Order: sequence, then structure tokens, then C-alpha cells
Amino acid sequence: MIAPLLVDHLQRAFGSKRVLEDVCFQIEPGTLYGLIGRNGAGKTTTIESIVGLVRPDRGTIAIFGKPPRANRRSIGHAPQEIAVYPDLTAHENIAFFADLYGDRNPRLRADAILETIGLSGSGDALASVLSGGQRRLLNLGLALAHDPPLLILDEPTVGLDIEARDGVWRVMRDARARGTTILLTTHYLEEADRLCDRVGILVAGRIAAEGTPHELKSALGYDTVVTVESDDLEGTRRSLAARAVTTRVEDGCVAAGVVGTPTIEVVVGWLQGFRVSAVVTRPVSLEDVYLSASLR
Amino acid sequence: MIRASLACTRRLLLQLVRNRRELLFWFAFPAMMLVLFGTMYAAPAFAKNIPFDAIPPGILVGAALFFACLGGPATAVVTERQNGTFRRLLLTPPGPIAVVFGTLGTYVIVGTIQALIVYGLALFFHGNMRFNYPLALLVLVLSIACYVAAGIACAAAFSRREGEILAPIAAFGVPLLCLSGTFFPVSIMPPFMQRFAEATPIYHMIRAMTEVTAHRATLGPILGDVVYLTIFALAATGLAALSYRSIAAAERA
Repeated sequence: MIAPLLVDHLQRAFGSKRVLEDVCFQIEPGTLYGLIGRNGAGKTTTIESIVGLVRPDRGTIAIFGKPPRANRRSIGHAPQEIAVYPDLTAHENIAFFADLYGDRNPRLRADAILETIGLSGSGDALASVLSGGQRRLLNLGLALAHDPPLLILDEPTVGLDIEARDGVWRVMRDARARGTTILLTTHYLEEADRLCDRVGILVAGRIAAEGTPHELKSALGYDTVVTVESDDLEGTRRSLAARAVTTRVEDGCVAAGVVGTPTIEVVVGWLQGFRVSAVVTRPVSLEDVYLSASLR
Repeated sequence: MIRASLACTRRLLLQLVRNRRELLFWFAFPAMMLVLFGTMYAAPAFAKNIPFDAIPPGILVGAALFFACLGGPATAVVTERQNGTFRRLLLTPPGPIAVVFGTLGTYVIVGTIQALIVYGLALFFHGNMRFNYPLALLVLVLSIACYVAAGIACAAAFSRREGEILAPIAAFGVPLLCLSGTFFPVSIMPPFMQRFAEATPIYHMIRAMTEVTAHRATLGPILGDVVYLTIFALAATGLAALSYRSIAAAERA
């Protein structure tokens, strides 16, 4: 089966600044792939190269085996900045784009999309009077207007409250359940962990790590992160290092990755002789994977 | 492409109807100009030199169409860039030509309504309304095509934000209006300026419209103007499509 998206050795510089050094990844049909990285890591440049808004200096992009510009109907793109017509209603916005893509009945299509994104009750409202969360849902709805098999979403939940974010997540899950392949960029690692089938971590213009969230977390070699506040950070770190896979000092705390799931009492027992003011344990997360990949 | 152009036309018309204040100004401005000039030219000092029927073409082409059909599309393109919808349009299958034609369709409708207002008011001043309507419509559409295409090209060349669009239109457009016989006859200008005026499209728009509506001319006497405007409209539409692509390239950079 042809991959919905193949990105091979993508390179792009703006002036003397190299934004994409060498980006390679592939997305399997019907999966949700998360591209994560800090601001400026190259996520948006990667996305805009894929949709054809940025011309890469080198590398290949194939959408279902074809170049992006030859396969525009296959791509639905929701840009990071909300791009809707403020003086058209939500319904008119969607119907216009459905019409441009040649939908036989754009008005019916708009009704269906409004239902999908949960804005049926606000279809007749001008986009300018919708709330921030509703506008972001509409931004997503425009990407769905022509029922594309590949959906590319650039930071779709940025700045949203929990309720609005859950609405966007629901739309993404529903689309995936219908067989749509999704590429999502986000810097919310919890979002990637909860939604994505596979994740690529973009660091300095390269994919530094890739796999399912579970694979990436397992590859770290520890299960729990122990965070300790004490009066002797370096001594505490050395003491924990004997029992941990990794340790680091950050923000006035020592963080250690340990195998298994030790209780707080056990950790306090490891640190006898130190004045410990706080101990927190939590399961390993994508944040740890990201930090590990960034420090490599 | 026709379907995409019609979709763009519908969308722009809807936006214009929503923006009632702008629409009101598009229609009130030429009406005010006509009343102003009509009243002036009704005065004996003017009336014996310039017949009233010579006024509506200049008002229509120079005051109404110039600001609505050149300024309107230019502003529309710049607003699209600011909204981010321009980038969204770039990803849709219809090419730039569809958007240019969609914009043209919108302003043909706006310009036709303006023409009806101007010539309707001219009736009030006892203006002549017996002329070759299809020929007048041809000149009107060609004039609008020249303006719309020039407006898009102007927006591409000079403006990224809404505030930046007015200055180049004023800087290039208003001198062209003065030179082309909008406000006073070209015949009173020095000969070298008259030759320069004859090279501008606005001069040919006004001349052709005056010949058709004031002198009841048929195609023969204005054939040169029609050919000039057709060539200019085609060249300007091509330039607008190229400009649209250049905006696209700038947006992609």
C-alpha cells in the first residue's frame, strides 16, 4: 500500500539559517503521526513544505506517491494561524471551500462538517463573532471541507481551554476512526502521548527520535521519574545516580529516571543523611523522551 | 475553472453585501460626484461650452469604476493576505486565473450597478439615455477588466497590509485620472500631454464611453479604443495572474 505521506531527506534554509537539516519520516495509512518539537524546531516549515507552501531546497515529499502540488485534493491543511473569512458565517466559510474543491453540494457538505466539528448550532454566526475555540474548530473544519484522506494540522490546540481542546481531539479521533491519516504538530507532549500512534521528535531540523509513544518511553530504560528537593542537590544527585539510569539537576531539583515504581518512602530511604524537603514520583512521559533527545 | 470563478464571485459579493458601509460609499460617491458636476455644468458659464452628456462617462469611469474596481480588488487581495486565507486559497486546485476571473465577475456586477446609478441620475439632469446599450456594456466590461487586473497587480507589487494600498493608488491613479479627461477635457492640455493622455487606458475608456453614450456612436468610431482596451485588459489580466503567482511565491518564501 502506498504511504499517505513520505518525507525523505528534506532540507530548507531561510537565508543563512538552516531550519530543516535532514528530515525523514513516513506515515502509515489511517494513523495519527505527531511531530513534536520546541518552537523554532522546524515543525511549521516541515508542514508547509509538505502542503506545498514552502519549496524545499532538497529532499522529496510524496503524498500517496505523488508530489504535493499534483495531489492537492488529497491534502486538508489547518494552518497554525486561524485562516477564515471573518465576514462570512461558519457555514458559508466551509461551503466556499467545498465549492472550490468541486463538491457537488457544498451546502450539504457544510452542514455535515459543522456537525462533525460540533458547530451545528453556530453555523449561521459570522466567523468574527465565534469564540477563539470555535474559530479554531472552524479552521479545522475548512481543512475537512473536501473530505481529504490526509489531514495536516499545525498546532491545532494552541491557546485553547480544556473544553475546546477536547473538541479538537474528538474531531481528530473521529477522522482517524474514519480512516483519515493525520499529521499533527504540537508542542503539547501530553497531547502527542494521548493521541498519536507514532511520534517523531524534531530537534534542530532533524528527527532525533521516532516510534510509538510506548516504544519511545521504553527506549529510555526507566519507568519512573523521581524528583527530589533537598539542601544538597549535587550530593542527592550522586546518591540517586547509584540507583538510577539517569540523573539531572534542573530548576532547583534533582530528577532521576529509575527502573520500577518505587514508593516515596523507598526513595526517602535512599536519601538518608540529606535534608529532603520534597519527593515526587511520576511515570515516565514523552517529556522525558523529548528532553533526552534534545540533550543528545 | 468556471465553477471556481463563480464561487469566488459569490463569496466576494457576499462579503461586499455584509460590508454595507463600503458598498454604500461605492454607490454614493459617484452619485455625489454626478450631482456636483451636474449642478456645476448646469451653470450658464459651463453649459454653453460643455454639454451635460459629456459628464457621466468621466464620472463613471474616473470616479466610480476607478475607486471601486481598482481599489476594491486591490484591497481584497491584501485583506486575504492578512487573514491568512490567501495561503489557504493557494492550496486549492483552481489556479490564480480562477480567482482573477472571480474577482472580475464581482466587479462587473458592482460596476454595472454604478453605471445604472450614474446614468439614472443623469436622467434627472436631462441626460441622454438613448444609446447602444450592448456597446456601452462592452466598453464598461473592458474598462472594469482593465481596472480589476491593474488593482490586483498593484496590490501584488506594492502592498502587504491594508494601510499600504491607498498610497500607490493615489500616487499613480489620481494623476492618471487628471491626465485622462475625468475632470476636464483633454483638449485643453498642451499637445505633448495630450499625446501622453492618449497612451493611458482611462483616456480610451472615457472616450469610448462618451462616444457611445453622448454621441450615440456605433462600433466604427470607437473601434480603436475597443481594440486598445481589449489588448490592455488581456495584458493586464495576464499580469494580474503573474502577480498573483508572485504573491504566492512571496507567501511560500
